[in-house]
Amino acid sequence: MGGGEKPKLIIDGKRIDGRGMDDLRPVKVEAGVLNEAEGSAYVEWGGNKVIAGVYGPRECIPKHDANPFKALVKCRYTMSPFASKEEHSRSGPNRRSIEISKVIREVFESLVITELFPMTQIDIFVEVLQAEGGTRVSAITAAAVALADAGIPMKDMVSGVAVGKIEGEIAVDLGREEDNFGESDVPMAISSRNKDILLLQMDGLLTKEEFARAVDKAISASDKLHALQTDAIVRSYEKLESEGLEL
Amino acid sequence: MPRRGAKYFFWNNQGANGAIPTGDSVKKIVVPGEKISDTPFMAETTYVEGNKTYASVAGMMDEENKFVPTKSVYSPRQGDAVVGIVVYIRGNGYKVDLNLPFEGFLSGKDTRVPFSMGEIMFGKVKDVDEVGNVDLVDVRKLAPGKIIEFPAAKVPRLIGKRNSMLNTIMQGTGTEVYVGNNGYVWLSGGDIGLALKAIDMVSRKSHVSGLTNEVADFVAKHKSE
Amino acid sequence: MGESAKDVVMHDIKKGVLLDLFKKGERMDGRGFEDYRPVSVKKGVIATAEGSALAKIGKTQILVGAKFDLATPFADRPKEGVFSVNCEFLPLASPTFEPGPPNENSIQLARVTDRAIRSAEVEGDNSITSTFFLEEGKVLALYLDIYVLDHSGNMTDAASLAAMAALMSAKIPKYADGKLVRTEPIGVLPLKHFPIATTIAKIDKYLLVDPSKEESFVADSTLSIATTQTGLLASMQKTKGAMSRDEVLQAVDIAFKKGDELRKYIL
Repeated sequence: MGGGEKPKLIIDGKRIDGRGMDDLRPVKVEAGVLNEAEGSAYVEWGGNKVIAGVYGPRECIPKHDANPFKALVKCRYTMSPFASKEEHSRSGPNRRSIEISKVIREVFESLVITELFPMTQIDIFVEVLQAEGGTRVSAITAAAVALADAGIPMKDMVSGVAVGKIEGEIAVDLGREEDNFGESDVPMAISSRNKDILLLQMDGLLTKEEFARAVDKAISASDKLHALQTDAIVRSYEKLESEGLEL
Repeated sequence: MPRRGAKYFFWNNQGANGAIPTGDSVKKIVVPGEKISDTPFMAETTYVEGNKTYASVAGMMDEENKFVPTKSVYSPRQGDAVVGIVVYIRGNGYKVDLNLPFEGFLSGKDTRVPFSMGEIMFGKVKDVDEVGNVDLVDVRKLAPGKIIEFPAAKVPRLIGKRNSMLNTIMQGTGTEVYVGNNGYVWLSGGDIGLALKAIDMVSRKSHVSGLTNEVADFVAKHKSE
Repeated sequence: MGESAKDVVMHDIKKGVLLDLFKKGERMDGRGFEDYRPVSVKKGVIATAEGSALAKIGKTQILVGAKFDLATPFADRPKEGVFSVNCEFLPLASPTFEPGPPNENSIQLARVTDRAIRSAEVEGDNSITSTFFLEEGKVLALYLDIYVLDHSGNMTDAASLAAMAALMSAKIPKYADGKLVRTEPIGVLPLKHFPIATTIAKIDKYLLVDPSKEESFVADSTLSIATTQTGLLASMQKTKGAMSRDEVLQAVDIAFKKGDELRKYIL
C-alpha cells in the first residue's frame, strides 16, 4: 500500500512495536480539556494526538440550511501542518480530510438525538496535532467524549478502531508501518451498547472469513475503548477544574 | 444495574480543602446510552427503547437511584424562570437574548414597562413553539448589573431546596441575585466579588452534598476578612 | 464576524461592572493590574515536528509547531534561509472562530509573532536563517505554525511564548544527498535575544497586564510589546482606540519588567 522498503511486520509472533495481534497501542483519554468549547476531549493513542471540541446546539449558518425538524450535525476533521514525520504540509481541509469529516459526521448523525434542537447546528471539530496511523478512529473516540462532555443528548457512546491484515494475520489497531505496508485496513466505529457498526471503511484485500474476524476483533476492542471513555468522563467530574491539555 | 465499563467511586471526604463533607452516598456515573431503569419514563435527558429507559447525557444516580444529568443543553419549557437582555426593539415588542441559539420574544402586549436596548429582565417562559421559539411573559426590569453564564444543568443546585443556596449567598454577601433556568445569573450590589466566588464554588462542587453549609462557611469566613 | 447587537449591549454591561472593580483596585479574577494569570510552557510536545511547545496563560492554550523543509532561496538573498510564520484559529478554540481561510485577526497574530522573532533573531548579523544555507540554490525553510487551541484572552503573549519555546526546542535536521534526514539532527538554532510579548489593555484610565477575554472585549485599546533578553524593544502592535504618550511609555516599562518574568518560563 505505501512506498519505501517493507519492514518485517511480525517477528516471533509479535508485532513491530512488540504488541500481540489483539493489543491496542497505549490509549489515554481526557475529557474537558478546553475552556471555551462546550465539550472537549483529548485522545493520545500511540503516536496520535487528537483534540476534539464541540459547540452547539447553536444557530444554523447559513440560515437557509436550517432544518425545522432537527439539528444539523457538522464535523470538521483536519490535520496540523506539523502532524507528519515528513514534510510540512498546508493546514486546513484537503480532499482526504473532507472525506473523513463526512464519515465521522455520519457516525454522530445516527447517535445524536437531533430532533430535540430544530433549526440549530451542532459542530464537532477534530484536530489531529500529531499523527501515527489511525487518526480517524482516534478522532471518533475523542469526539464521542467531547459530545458527552458538552451534554448533547446521544443514544449511545461510540469508539473507533482500525483492524487490518498484516503478513496474513488479522491485527487490531494498525500502527503507521502496518498501515503503510500491511495487506488490508478496516477502520470501524462501534456503538457501545448495541454494538452497531457506525463507520466502516476498508482498503486492501480480505476474504469473507478474515473480514468477519476483523469485525469481531473490533467489537472486542471497542469494549476496552469504551471503558477508557467512561473513565475519562468520571475523572472529569472528580477534578474541580480543567487544567487544560497535557500534550 | 452495574454494567461493564461503568465505575463506582466515593467522594473523598478529605477533599482539597479538607472540606468535602462526609456522609455522602456512593454515586454511580452514567454515560450516554446506559440503562437507568427497567421501566419506561420520558425526560429530556433520557430515551425509551424496548420499554426500558436509557440516559442520553452523562450524569449520576443519586441516593434514591434517580438519574441526575451533570451537563445538559438547556431546552426552555413553559413556566421556566429566565434572565434575559433586550437586544433588539421591534414595533410589536422586544427580542431578548436568553443564552439560547435564538432570541426570545417579549410582545409589547405582555409588558407594561417599556424596555431599552441592553436592559435586563427577569421573566417567565410563556410558550415554546415546535421549532424552539420562546415567548416571554410576567417580566420585571432589573437594574444594570453583572450578568454571568452558569451551567444550566446546575441551576437547581444554585437555587437549592426552597431557595436555600440562593438565600445563603444573598444574605452572606449582601448581593441581590436572580437566577434564570437558562443559565443567566444577574447580580447587583453588596460584595459581588465574593458572591461570584460562591457561585463558582457551587458550579465546581455541584455534586457535593452538604454544599449549602460549605458555601455559608466560605462566605462567612471571607466576609470577616 | 461582525459585531452583533448582543455584543454591543454586553459590552456596556460588562464594562460597567469591570470599572466598578477597577476603582477598588480589583480585577474579576482577583489579580492585581500587573499580574499574569498562571503561565506554563512545555517544550517538545509534538514528536512529528522538529520543534514544538504548548503555552498556557490562564485558560488560553496555544501550540506552536516548527518544521524544517528544503526551499529555494529568494533571488536577492541567495545565502539566506526562509522563515515563515502561519497562524490557525482552530474553530474548536472559541465560539467566535469559524472554519475557513485566515482572517484579519489570525493574520495579525501570525505577523505580530513573526515580526518580533524576525526583528530579533532573523535580521541582522548572525541571524538564525544565515545558518540555513545548504548549497547553491538550496536552503532550509523554517515554518512556525501557531495553533490556537483555546482562546480565553491574550493570544499574543501565549503565541509569543510558544513560538520562542518551539524555536528553542527545534533540532536542525541533517542534509545529505539532496534530502533532509529528520532523524539525525545536527544542532539547534543560534538564538540570542529571546523576544517575548507582553500585552497591556487600556480600559478607561487603567492599564492591565494580560487582559482576560472579557477585559479585551471591553478594552479601549490594547498594546503588545515584545522585549528582548538584551533589553531591547523588538516589536509593538497597538489595536483599536487611543493611548497617550505617557500611557505608551508606562506600558513599555511594564513590558520590560514582565518580559523578564515571562522569559523565565522558557529559558
